Amino acid sequence: MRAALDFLYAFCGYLAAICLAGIGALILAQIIGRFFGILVPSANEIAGFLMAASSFLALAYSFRAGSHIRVNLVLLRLPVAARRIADIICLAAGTILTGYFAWFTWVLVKDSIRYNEVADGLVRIPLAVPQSALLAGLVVLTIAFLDELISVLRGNTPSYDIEQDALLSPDGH
Amino acid sequence: AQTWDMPLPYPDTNFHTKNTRIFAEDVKKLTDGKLTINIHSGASLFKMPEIKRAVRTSQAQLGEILLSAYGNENPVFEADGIPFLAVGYDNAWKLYQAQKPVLEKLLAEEGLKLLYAAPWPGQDLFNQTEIKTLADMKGVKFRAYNAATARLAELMGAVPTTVQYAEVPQAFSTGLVSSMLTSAATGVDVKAWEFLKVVYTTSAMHPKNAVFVNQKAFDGLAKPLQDALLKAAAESEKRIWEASKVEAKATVKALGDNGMKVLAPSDSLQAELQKLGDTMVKEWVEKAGANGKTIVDSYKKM
Amino acid sequence: MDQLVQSILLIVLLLAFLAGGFWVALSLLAIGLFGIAMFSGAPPGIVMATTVWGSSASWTLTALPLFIWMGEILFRTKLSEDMFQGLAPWLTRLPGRLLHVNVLGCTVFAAVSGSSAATAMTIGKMSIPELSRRGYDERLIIGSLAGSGTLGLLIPPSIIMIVYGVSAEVSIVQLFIAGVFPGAMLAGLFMGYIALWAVIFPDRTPPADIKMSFLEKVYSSRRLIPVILLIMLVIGSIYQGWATATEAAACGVAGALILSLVMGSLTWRSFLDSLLGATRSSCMIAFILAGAAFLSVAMGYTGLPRTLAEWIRELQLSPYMLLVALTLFFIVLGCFLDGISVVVLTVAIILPMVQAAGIDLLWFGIYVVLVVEMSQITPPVGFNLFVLQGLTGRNILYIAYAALPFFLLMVVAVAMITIFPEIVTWLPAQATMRP
Ligand code: NA
Ligand code: NA
Repeated sequence: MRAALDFLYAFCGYLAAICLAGIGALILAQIIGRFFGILVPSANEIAGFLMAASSFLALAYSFRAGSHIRVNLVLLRLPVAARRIADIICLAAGTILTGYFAWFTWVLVKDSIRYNEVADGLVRIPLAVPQSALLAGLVVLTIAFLDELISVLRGNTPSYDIEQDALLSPDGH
Repeated sequence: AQTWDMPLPYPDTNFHTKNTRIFAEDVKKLTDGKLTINIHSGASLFKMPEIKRAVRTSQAQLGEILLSAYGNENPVFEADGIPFLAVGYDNAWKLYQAQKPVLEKLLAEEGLKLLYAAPWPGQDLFNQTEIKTLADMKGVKFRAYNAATARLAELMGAVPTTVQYAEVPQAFSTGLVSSMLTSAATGVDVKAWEFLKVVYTTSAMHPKNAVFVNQKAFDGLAKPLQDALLKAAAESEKRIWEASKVEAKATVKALGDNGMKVLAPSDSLQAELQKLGDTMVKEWVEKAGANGKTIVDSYKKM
Repeated sequence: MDQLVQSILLIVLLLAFLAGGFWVALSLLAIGLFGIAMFSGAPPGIVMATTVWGSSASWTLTALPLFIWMGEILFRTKLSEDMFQGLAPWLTRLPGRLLHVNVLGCTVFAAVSGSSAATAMTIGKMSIPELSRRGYDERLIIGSLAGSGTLGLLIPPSIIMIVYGVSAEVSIVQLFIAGVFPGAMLAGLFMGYIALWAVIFPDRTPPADIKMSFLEKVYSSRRLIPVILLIMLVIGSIYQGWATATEAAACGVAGALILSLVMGSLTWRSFLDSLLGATRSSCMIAFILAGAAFLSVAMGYTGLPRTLAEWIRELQLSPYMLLVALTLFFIVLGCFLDGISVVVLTVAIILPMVQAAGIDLLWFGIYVVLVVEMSQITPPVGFNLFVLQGLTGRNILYIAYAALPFFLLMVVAVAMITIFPEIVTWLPAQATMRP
């Protein structure tokens, strides 16, 4: 189970990274294409969709890497037991909120399919396709929140405590 | 008293937005303040691609969109975006009448009720240099913002280049693109004289904004309020078709006053363009199927 | 004043969520939901999904992850170290020494990137480890980065100028030109402050470790050549007409990859690390941006900003007093909303007032950019604060405190362009006076 979940988060993270690289490749193709009079159809729209897909598919992955910002001013000053309770409340609230969000994104996708919504621009891209990436990202984030909640309830420290991107040593403030 | 939200795509300085504000005031007056319309201009509530969805799903009760921006959804929406199908306001009005029954039917399927349509000034051909024949357009980088303008560029032998509206001034200043088909009103908005020299008043087509209401919200109104809303809409439509003509004159003049060469296309150029237009109309009818044929046939009968 | 109670309630709730350690993006979403559910008749869930979709799938936004990626690539090459080695000899006589790298680096990078967060993140990634290793004052490192990062908005190209230009129908090219002098002035103010601080606290700047002749300095500057080439590539791509301001970011990524390939630091591992790092950072920023966009839509439904603006209009102030009132209004709003939301939400309501007072809309655009820059470093919702929290792991109030002097310098800058509007208007006027 643990391995499967970790794989899921990493998989979505890598997908998001591919989307990001795709934005760069697409825009470069558009710039180079212009030199030769070649139009890359709907490049701007697709880049925008990749942007949304990248941002949302990466949610769970960056959540576990501690990239999502929270104001930890009060948290850090709490005694260990109180800190644990605060974390549990935050995680429970987060699970509910992301679940709610995922549900209404599903409503959005359903509406797009029902009314055959398509992107403007040169290519008729069904909006349900890029919106599904949003939905997938939010569903996986909800799972990650729930996963984290259960883990903290079992007495583990939260995985997002690592702050792997920080450049300064954690002492001091 | 009820308050309705109405997201608009264009900012307050735009003549469409100004007219829609008058419409909202009229509704308030005609209903003795029982129905207030809260206008959210400049895409501050929803952006253009989301406005129709927002009204359909009752996130807002009223909305205004550029119809042809939804052309990918159904070709009927972009009938007024096909260059040289209906040149000038009189033809644009006829096309609107021909398009209206189909349009109303399509919107009704989404639970939307069309209130009225508001035309943009005719789309003119902006270019760096004067054009004698269409051969002069060969290889010119032409701004394409949808399928129709991209196809037009192709037919002209120009190179279609996509540039978002916000990036138009920079793209033209640096020579990324050097020609476009747009209304004089938009030409003034982007200050076309800062980067272009010539404009041909081709009036190739008059794209329209559509103003519509959520049917359920409309049905929920008392009869007198419904009547008031429809009355204000009818007046607004009459007003905006006139205001659009005034805007067209004023903006073409502004282009000239700011140093652009405002020219009428020569007969031979107009004929060449018209021929391209015929091709595009034919292609559009094929794409739009039965609906397209109905619209073009009834338009040609008028 | 029903709406006053509403707004206070929303603010208190937001502060409670944030202080409780709830994630920033989620807090914004939650408050937005609450605001719509309590104070409007709209269906909150579907509005949230629609708004977040609409604001996330955005072409203009694509420049952000690309610039961040470019920064991540540079961070993994020797390029950042070289930038210090090249600049250090020139700065060693200046009080404050290498701290000026933050301001200069951000100023130069601002000419490449249109976003404040990407500027702070890129330069921060390169300078924080170098500066803290050399023993510079941590608070000033963080404060100067937070402050100078905002130059990304004022020095062209600039996303916020594009947003304002479209909303106010002011020429975007003119806005870009108008931003040059105020941007240089603000950078000058920042450097002046750092120098003054260093003079007052001489023992808090690490000693100069370089003694070089002029020719040696010039020779050591060769290490700046790769960075200069990269900047020339990005800026050149815009002004040569190869790319739009948004697309230029992709040129930056390509250039950075080529440079790191040439310099031998590009491996599959470093490529992957840079890409994943950029994915995490841009995910964090994009998610907060989405939350902020939703909150601003919720505000639009409740009509709060409109009421506030109406209230200011009814005061019938003189132009100067109007600007003072608007500045306070923007600062308060900027504490809770992000810059783009502030512009989109208020421009429609405020511009008529501003025009009626006889204020030039081009000038007002630069003024708006300056006050939006302030909002990037005011707590609780300030994007440069979030970026620096991510970079340093320090808490947000500490970072905001470190950035406070730079916030005050921006207030000074607003005062200066108000007293001497020519700082803004002179250059664009020259640019249009051609035959
Ligand atoms: Na910039
Ligand atoms: Na702020």
